[in-house]
Amino acid sequence: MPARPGREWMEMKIWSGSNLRNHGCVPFCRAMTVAILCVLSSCAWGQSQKDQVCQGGYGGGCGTAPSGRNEPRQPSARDLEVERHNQGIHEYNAAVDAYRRGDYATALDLYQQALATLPHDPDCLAAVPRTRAVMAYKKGDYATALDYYQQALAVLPRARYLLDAVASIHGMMAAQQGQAAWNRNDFAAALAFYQQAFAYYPDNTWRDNIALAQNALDNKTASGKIQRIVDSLPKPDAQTSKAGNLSFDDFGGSAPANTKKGLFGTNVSDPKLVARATEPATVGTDTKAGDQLLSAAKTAEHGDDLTPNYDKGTGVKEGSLVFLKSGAVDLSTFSARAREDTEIISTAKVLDELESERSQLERERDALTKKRNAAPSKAAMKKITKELDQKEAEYQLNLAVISAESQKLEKRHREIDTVVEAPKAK
Amino acid sequence: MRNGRSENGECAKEVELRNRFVLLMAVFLVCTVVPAVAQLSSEAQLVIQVGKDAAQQKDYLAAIRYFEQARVLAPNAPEIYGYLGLVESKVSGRELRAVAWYAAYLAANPKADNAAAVEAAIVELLKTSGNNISTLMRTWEAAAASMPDSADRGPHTNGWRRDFSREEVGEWYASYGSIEDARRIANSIPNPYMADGVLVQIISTQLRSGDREGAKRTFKLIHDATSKESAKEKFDHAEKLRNDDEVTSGAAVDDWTQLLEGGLRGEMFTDLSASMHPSSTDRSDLLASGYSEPWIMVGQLSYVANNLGSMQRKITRMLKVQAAQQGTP
Repeated sequence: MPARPGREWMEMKIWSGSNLRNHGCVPFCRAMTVAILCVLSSCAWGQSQKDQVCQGGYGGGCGTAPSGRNEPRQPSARDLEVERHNQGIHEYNAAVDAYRRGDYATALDLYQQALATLPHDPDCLAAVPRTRAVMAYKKGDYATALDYYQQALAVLPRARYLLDAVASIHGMMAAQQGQAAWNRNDFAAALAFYQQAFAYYPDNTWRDNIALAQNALDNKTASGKIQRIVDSLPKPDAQTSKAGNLSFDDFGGSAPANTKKGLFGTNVSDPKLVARATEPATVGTDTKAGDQLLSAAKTAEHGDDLTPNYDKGTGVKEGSLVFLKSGAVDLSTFSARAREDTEIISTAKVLDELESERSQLERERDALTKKRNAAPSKAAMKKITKELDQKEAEYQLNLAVISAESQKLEKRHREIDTVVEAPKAK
Repeated sequence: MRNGRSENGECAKEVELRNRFVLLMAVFLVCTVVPAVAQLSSEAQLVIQVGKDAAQQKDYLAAIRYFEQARVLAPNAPEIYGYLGLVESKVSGRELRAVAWYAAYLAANPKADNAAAVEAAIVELLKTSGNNISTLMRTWEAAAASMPDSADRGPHTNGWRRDFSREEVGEWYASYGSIEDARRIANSIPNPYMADGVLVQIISTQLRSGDREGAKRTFKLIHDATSKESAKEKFDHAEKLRNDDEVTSGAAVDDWTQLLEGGLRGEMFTDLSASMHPSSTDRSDLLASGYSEPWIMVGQLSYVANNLGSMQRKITRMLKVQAAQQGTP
C-alpha cells in the first residue's frame, strides 16, 4: 500500500516555512531595527543628557527637562508607537516559539494578539491563516488547509514557503485520490493521481507510489493476457483420447463378458433401476449385479437405507454382495430353527458390531470430507486427503468383512432352512 | 541288489529323480496354469462389472475408482490393469497414467493375445501426450512473453522479469530435445546472460545425445565468461550426462504402480485449469504470500509442463527397458 508523506516532511515544511518567513519579513525586521535604533538612540541621548532624565518607561520618550524642575514628561506619540511595535514584536516572537514547539493553538492566539497590535503588518496578517492551515492539515482536512494557505498567499503572494505548501497540499489531495483508487484496485487511476501528485510536489513517496502503481498495472495487464492464453488451451472434453480400439473384452479376464446375463438373473435388468444422481435408484424385479451395486453406491451416497435394493430384487444368488440393513440383524424373519442356531447368533452379533463400526467409519469419513473441502491451504488439503484415503481404506475393508460375514450368515441360513430341513421334510 | 539297481533294472536314484521331475512338473503346472484360469472372487467380479457399467455411461472417473477397488480385491489380476488403462485413456490429461497401466498389464502379461493392440494404444497415447506437452510449452512460452518487463515486487520474486521467464522456457525446450525452439528463444532474449543460460542447456542436451560437434558450435555463441565455465563443465562430464539417461528399472508391475502413485498422481489438464482459475486456493495463497499474479500463472504452467515432460521422458525410457527385457520391438 503506498505510503503518504510522514511527519518528517511536515516538520521540514514547518521549519522551512519558518525560515522562509524570516526571509519574507525583511521589511518588518528593518522596521524593527529602525525602531530599536530609535529607542537606543533615545536612551543614549537621555543618558548622555543625564539631567534631562527620561521619565517613565518610555525609553525613547525623553525630552529636555524644564529648568529647575524634574517632572516626568508625558510619552510622545513616537514613544507610544515604538512601544506598540515592541509589544507586537514580543507577541509575534512568542507566537513563533509556540509554533516551533508545535503548540499551534497558543501560536494562533499570540499571532492574533500580534495582529491586533500590528494590524497592517503583512507577516502577522499571513501568520494567522498559515497557522490555521497547519492546524487543518494536521487534522487531515486538506481542503480547509488549502483555503487558509491561499488566504496567506493573498497577503504574501511571493512567499516561497506558502507556494510550496499550496503545491504540497494539492499533491496530498491528489495522492489521497490515488490511495482510494489503489484500494479499489483501479491501478490506472491510482497511477494517474500519483503522477499528478508528483507533478504538484516532487516528493519521493509519490515517486515510489508511481512505481508501485505502474507495477500493479503491468501485472494486471499481463495477468489478463496470460489468462486469455491459458483459456485458449483445448478443453478436456474436446480432446478425449481415442487411443487404440481396445475394449474391455480385449482384456479377457475373469469377469463375465456377457453383461446382459447378470449374476442375479438372465433377463435384461429393469431399466428403471438406472442409478440417479440425486436420489436412490428405483428397484426393479430382475436386476443385474452391476445395477444393484451401482444403485447401492448411489443410495449410500445419500445416506439412505441400502436394504431395499437387495431384499426386494432377486439378488439372492450365493456369493452375491449383500448389504445388510444398518443396526441389528433382523432374526425375526428367520425360521425358529435358524434363530436358535449358534453360528447364526454369533455371526449376527459380529455383523452388528461391524455395522456399528461401519456407521462410525462413515461418520468419520464424512467429517473428513467436509474438513478437506474446507481446507484453508493446499498443504492442509493434502494432509486431510491422506487421512481420508486411509479412512476410505478402513471403510472398504470393513465393507469387505461385512460382505464376507453376511454371505456366511446367508449360507448358514440356507443350509438350515433348505439343505438341512429339506431331507427331514421328506 | 547291486549298485542300488532294482530287480526290474531301475536305479533307485533314477526313480527318485523321476519322482522329483513329476513333482516339479506338477508344481510348474500349478504355478503357471492355475493362475491363468483362476477366477476372480465374486466380489471383485462385481466391482469390475460396476466399473464397466460406469464406463459405459461415460462416467470414467467413477469407473477408475471401481477398478482401483477391484485391484485391491484382486491385486494379481492383470486384466484390471488393462481396464484401468482403457478408462484412464478416456480422460483427457491422463494419457500417461493410461500408458503406465497398459505397461503394467504388459509387464504382468507379456504374452497376452492383445499385446500388439496394447502396444499400439501406448504409442498412440504417447503421441497424444507429446502433443499435450507441445501445447503446454507453446502456452507457457506465450505466457512468459506476456510477463511485465519490469522487476516484480514481493518476496522471492525480485529479479523475475520477462527475460528470466523466457530463459526458463528455452532451457526446458532444450531439455526436451527441441533444440530449434531453444535456439529461437535464446536468440530472442535481449539479456545476453539469460540467453547464455539457454545455450548452456542446449549444449547439455547435445552432449547427452552425443552431438559433440554441435555442442562446440553452440559454445561459440556464449557471451559470458561464467556461462562459458558452466558449459565447459558440461563438456567435462559428457559421459556422465549420457549415463544419466539410462534407466535400469521399469519392467515390473511395481515400477509402474509406484510411478502411478508418485509423479503421475492426478490429471494434468484438469489440475492446470483448476490451479489457474482465479478462485483457486493455490493462487490466492500465493498472492497472499506476495507473489504477483503473472508470476503465479507462469509458474503453474511451467510446473505442469515440466512435470508432464519429465514423466513422458521417464516413461519412454522405462518402456524401452521393458521392451528390451521382454525381447519385444
